[in-house]
Amino acid sequence: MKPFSFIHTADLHLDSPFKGISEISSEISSDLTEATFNAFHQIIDLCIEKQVDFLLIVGDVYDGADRSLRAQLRFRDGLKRLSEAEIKAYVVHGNHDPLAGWSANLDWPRNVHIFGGESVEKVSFEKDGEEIAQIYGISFHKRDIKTNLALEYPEKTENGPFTIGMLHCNVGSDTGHDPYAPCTLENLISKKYDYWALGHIHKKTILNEDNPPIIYPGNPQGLNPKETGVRGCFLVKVDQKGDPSQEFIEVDSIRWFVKELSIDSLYTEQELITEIHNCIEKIREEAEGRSSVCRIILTGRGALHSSIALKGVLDDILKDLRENEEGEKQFVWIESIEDYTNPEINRKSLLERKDFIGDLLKLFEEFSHDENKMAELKESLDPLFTSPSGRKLLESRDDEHFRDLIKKAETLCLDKLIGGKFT
Amino acid sequence: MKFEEIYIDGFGIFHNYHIKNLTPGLTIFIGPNEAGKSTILSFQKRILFGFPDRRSKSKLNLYPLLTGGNHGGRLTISSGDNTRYIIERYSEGANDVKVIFPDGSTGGTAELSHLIGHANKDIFENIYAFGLTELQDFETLNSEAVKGRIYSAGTGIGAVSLSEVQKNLETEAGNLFKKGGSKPEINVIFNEIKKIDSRLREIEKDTQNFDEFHKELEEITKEIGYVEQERNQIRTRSNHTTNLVTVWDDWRKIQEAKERLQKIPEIENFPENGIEMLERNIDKIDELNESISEKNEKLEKTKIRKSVMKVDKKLLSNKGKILEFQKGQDKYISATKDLPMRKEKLKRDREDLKESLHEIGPDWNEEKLSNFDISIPTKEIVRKQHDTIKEAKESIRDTEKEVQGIEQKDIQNIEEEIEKVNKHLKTQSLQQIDEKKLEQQRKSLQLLRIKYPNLKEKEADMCNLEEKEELFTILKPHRAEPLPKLPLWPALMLIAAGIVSLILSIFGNNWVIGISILAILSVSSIIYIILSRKKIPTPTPEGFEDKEAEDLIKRSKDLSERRNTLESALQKIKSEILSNAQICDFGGIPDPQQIENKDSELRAASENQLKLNELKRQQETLDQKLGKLSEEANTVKKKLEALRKEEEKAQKEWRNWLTEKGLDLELTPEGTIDIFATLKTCIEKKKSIEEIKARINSIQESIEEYETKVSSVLEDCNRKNEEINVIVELEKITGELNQAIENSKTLEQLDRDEENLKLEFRNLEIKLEERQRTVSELLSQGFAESETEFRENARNWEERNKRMDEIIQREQNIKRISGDGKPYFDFINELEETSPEDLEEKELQLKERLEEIENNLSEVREKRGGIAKEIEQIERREEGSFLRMEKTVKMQKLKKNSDEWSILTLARTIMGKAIEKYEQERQPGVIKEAQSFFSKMTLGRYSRIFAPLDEAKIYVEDKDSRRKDIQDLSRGTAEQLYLSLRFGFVREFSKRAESLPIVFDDILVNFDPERFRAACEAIKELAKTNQILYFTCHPESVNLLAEIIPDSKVIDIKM
Repeated sequence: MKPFSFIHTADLHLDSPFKGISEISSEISSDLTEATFNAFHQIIDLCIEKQVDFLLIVGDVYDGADRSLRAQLRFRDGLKRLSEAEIKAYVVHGNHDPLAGWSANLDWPRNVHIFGGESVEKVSFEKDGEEIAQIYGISFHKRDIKTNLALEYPEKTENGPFTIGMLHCNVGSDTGHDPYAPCTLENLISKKYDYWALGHIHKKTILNEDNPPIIYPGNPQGLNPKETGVRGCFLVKVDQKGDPSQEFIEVDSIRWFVKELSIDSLYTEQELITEIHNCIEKIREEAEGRSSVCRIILTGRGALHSSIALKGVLDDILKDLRENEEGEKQFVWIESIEDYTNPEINRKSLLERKDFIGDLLKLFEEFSHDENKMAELKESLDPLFTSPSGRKLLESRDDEHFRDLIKKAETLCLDKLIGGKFT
Repeated sequence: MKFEEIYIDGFGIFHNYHIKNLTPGLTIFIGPNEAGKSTILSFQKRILFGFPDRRSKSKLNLYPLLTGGNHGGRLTISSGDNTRYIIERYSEGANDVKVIFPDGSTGGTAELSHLIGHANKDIFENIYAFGLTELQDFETLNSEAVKGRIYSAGTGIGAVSLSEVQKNLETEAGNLFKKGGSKPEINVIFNEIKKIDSRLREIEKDTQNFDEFHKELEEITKEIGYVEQERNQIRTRSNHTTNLVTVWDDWRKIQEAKERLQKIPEIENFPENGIEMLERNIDKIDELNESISEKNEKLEKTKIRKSVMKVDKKLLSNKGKILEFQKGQDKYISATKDLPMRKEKLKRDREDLKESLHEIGPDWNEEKLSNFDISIPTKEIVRKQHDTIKEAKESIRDTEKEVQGIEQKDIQNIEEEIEKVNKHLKTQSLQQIDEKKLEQQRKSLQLLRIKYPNLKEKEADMCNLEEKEELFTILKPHRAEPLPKLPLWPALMLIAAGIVSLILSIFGNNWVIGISILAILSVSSIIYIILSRKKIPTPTPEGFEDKEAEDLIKRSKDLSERRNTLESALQKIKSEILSNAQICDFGGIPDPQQIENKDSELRAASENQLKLNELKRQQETLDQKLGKLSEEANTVKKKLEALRKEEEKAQKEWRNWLTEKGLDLELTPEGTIDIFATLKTCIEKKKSIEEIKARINSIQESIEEYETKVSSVLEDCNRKNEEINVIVELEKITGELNQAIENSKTLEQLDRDEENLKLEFRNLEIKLEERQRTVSELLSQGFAESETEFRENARNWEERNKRMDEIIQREQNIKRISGDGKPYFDFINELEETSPEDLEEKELQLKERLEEIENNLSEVREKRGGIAKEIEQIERREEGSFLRMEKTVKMQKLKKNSDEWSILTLARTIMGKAIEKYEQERQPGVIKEAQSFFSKMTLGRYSRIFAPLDEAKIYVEDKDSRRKDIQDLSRGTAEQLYLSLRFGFVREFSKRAESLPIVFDDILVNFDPERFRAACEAIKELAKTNQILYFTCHPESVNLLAEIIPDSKVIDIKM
């Protein structure tokens, strides 16, 4: 057979906003809004540069709920470029952009095939009049598909050409993602396909290295603090024998980082600032020319805690750091500095004290361990969380998060009452 | 902390007021009303906590200066470790406090705050320094600061106020979120998100419209298509109507032309440009007739002229000869003029020649001239003769000069010289010296010089020998005396002689010899010295006396022998010297000086001798020269004789030649040569005369010939031949000839003209005929009999053609618009059936409709543009992306803020619970302390005080455990409760922070004696830990206090 190549991507989430950023400058904001498009264009460029035969896009091209016309137009523009380069594109829709969702009335270029949502569809790919690949796929016709779509795929036809399955699904049960179109690895392997192009999971995952390769390429652009590290797509080359080999290629334009920084050995604010600066420069290096967004988490216990616990100190540091980054071509935007540091106190000895502080700490202990008491405590937060806006805009507080808050409240009380002066 | 001293610089009634030595325990200030107790108390407070702002509207007493000084002063205090500090403050300036440390250094508010245990004014006023008013004013206890202090006193959190922390937490949380608020951060974010959401919804709506817009766009495009079609149709119709209107004029003109045509008679044909052609031919015929009559006239004239014209033929036949004469005319004229001139010249030349010949000699004529040879050889002979004579004369002159020179100069000079020498000789010969004697003397002197030292030496030797001999004779056994040393002077002499000779030789310019002599003499002297030193014998040692004796004998013998020989030698030398001295004219033996003098004498003599010899030699030479010269003179004289003879011979020869040639004998050769030149001139003149003669002859001949020729021709032409002036005649005949030539030429021309005119005449007649024929032909072509008819026909023909052309032109105009063929005929039919008014109305209607449609179209197009723009705008809209981004950012911020709010709220809630628990389980120490004071002051009537932590209420329990609100207590008991509480605060506060001095202002006045005493007891106890200043105006109180607290100090405040 004739050798050929294709690129496998998924979860473009075009025009989806970055999440988890609490402060942003207008300049950086425009860079971030362009990030998903930039990654997509990188992929198109890559297709043209590598002269691949087709591009597979496995779901979640955009977020239907956002109703972003821009996303769809830019998507169409990208596909037009492919069409001009005589490269085919195969698209399935996922849970974020189901067929039933809103989409603009756009004319798709002739080289684009969008799989339907009724049943699994087969498309042949021909090169110079020879059928060299069969591609199976199905789009989500609605958002909530909880059935196992893998079961609907037919087995590979005997002596058939190179066969690819495109599926937006959740393989396995413990992925941390919404359980849309759940299936098992066995379901997929049993179809005897030559390549499974999956989508939905944002973290690059190779479920099966070989025979056949079963791959989540991950999203090509990380969109929140959980989506750190390199992001990209897979270039798959199929040789004359029909054996595929895949290569991961980075295409993200902005990279996420979360860095922990211990204050154990820091004594002054200046030391902390220096440490953060070092951290930023390290990130700049790691990002390899890209801009990046970083969350810094301060941990540890030490003298520095009391000074950074003062209201406004971290905000000022952050402001300075951001001002430094304004205008940088390759910026490192510190999204936030989270303070998980603790005062340098012997909590145990405080607990044993017979005075007010001892009583207070004992109470905190009780509230963070006793679920009933915790529920009682939660009520104190009702004024905010049960307010109309709060109900609508605030996420529900899980216990872990709540315990975290209690812990921080305790630290706050100690800071206020003894200011780290007593041990 | 304790007060040590109070110094009031100026404050109310006080000025420069000093209170010293305050006790650490109780100090009682006693003074009547107005004495200034309250002033002192206020002074203390203001020094510690500052003066109130003068501008503030409070009713506080500012204690203005009444007796002078600076408003302010200082407190001297000591801390727990007995260190003294000074706290100074003045209301002037910045109202800043100054803390002076023991080491002199200073501090400010921070240092003061540290010294007073961070107590503020409220605490101090309410707990430490108070009077009856504060005590009675229950509300003062509710001050937040005091309450906080009360509670914190037992909480183990130091100086932090729990209620402040609580309040702080609440404020912070309130800044983040307030129910129903709009300014707190979270509320702001809620609103912002709400706004973003609504804007997003709008945008979403826009995007939904996107499809609708697309649909609308399609519809509107279709509509535009329809309208455009209709518009095109109407436009076509409108154009058609406009065309009809346009061609209407043409159409009408065609009709008119056709009508006109019918009225014009028809002619079959008419020549093109007929009239023109006719006119032209008629004109031509007139012209030709005119030309013919003109030619006739000319012909007549020519004939008349011919008949008048005459020509002389003979003259014409002699034309060549006459013309030749004309050519020779100039030559003839010049010849006739030249002839007399030349004749004159001939005469002059002849006279000239005669004169020249006379110059040579009187008998000289032309014949003699032609016989005289003036050839170059003859001239050469004369020149030779001249040279010979001249040479001879010159030689004679030279020789005479020579003879004269020798005789006069040379001989005379030599004779003078001889005279001079002779004179010299005469003087010299006076000192003439015998040369031989001089030579002898010089030799002898030389010998003397050599011998003299020899003699002196020998004499010295002799002396020595004689001395030795004497010694030998006296000391025979004695050893012989050492031989005397040889003297050195001879050597020195030798060198001196050398030097002298060198000097002399240098003077004599012969220093080489001088040096050689010096060298030789020096070498001799050196040899002499060496030899003389060797002769010194070695002394003989004394131990060999015998042998010596023998030697001595032998020696004495030797000596005598040597003496003898020496004597004889001496004698010989002496005699030699003497003989030589005689020669040199010395009297005896001369000493060296004499010798030297003699020597210089001799030398001068020899020099003179030499000079003499030289002169003699010169004399001889001159004599010889004189001889030679006299000889020479003689020879020259002889030669002179010979030369004179020769000259005579030459003169003779010359005279002979002159005779031979027939020339004057007196002539010198030079003169002869001059005559030669004259002769030559004469010969030349003779020749020229002959030439002139020949020339005159030839001229005369040519004149005659010319004249003969001319007269023959004149005769031939029948001209008069009597008196002839060749030139005049010739001129006349030439003129006549020219006239004849001219006339013959004119005649020829007239013949030719006549011929031509005849020819032209014939031609004109032919042309005339042709023209007349053409005119008749033209008339027949135009179907006319006459010219008039022809002209009528032409007019009609033209009119007709014009109309026809117009019709065609206008039809073409219509066709250009309508098109050819059927459309044209349709067009014509349509025109036939309509009227211009109808057409114009129809056109107007259509145009109106068209305009309407166009307007409609542009409206619809605009609408379509609007939609397209809308679509484009929607496509380009990026606001959504930015808003979504903004929203997520806000959400994140909201999350952060809600976490923060939650933390604050949780902290406050839990702390609240802790406070509740604390106040239930652990009564604050302050209450405990107060309880004990209260129990004592009420003499055990009340046992417990109960103070909720977060409440400003205090309850008491009596000994029967009955709880009582403060309102339920009697005034005195209530005062006692407050006093106890304050005492409790003081105690508790002192435990945790710096204890401060307590100032009471007559607080016990409402107490009954029993409780007064009990209160005094309590004060006594308190004085153990705190300094107490008690102000009172009641002497009995002083007494009682002093009685109960013996180590107290009383200070009387006196004005």
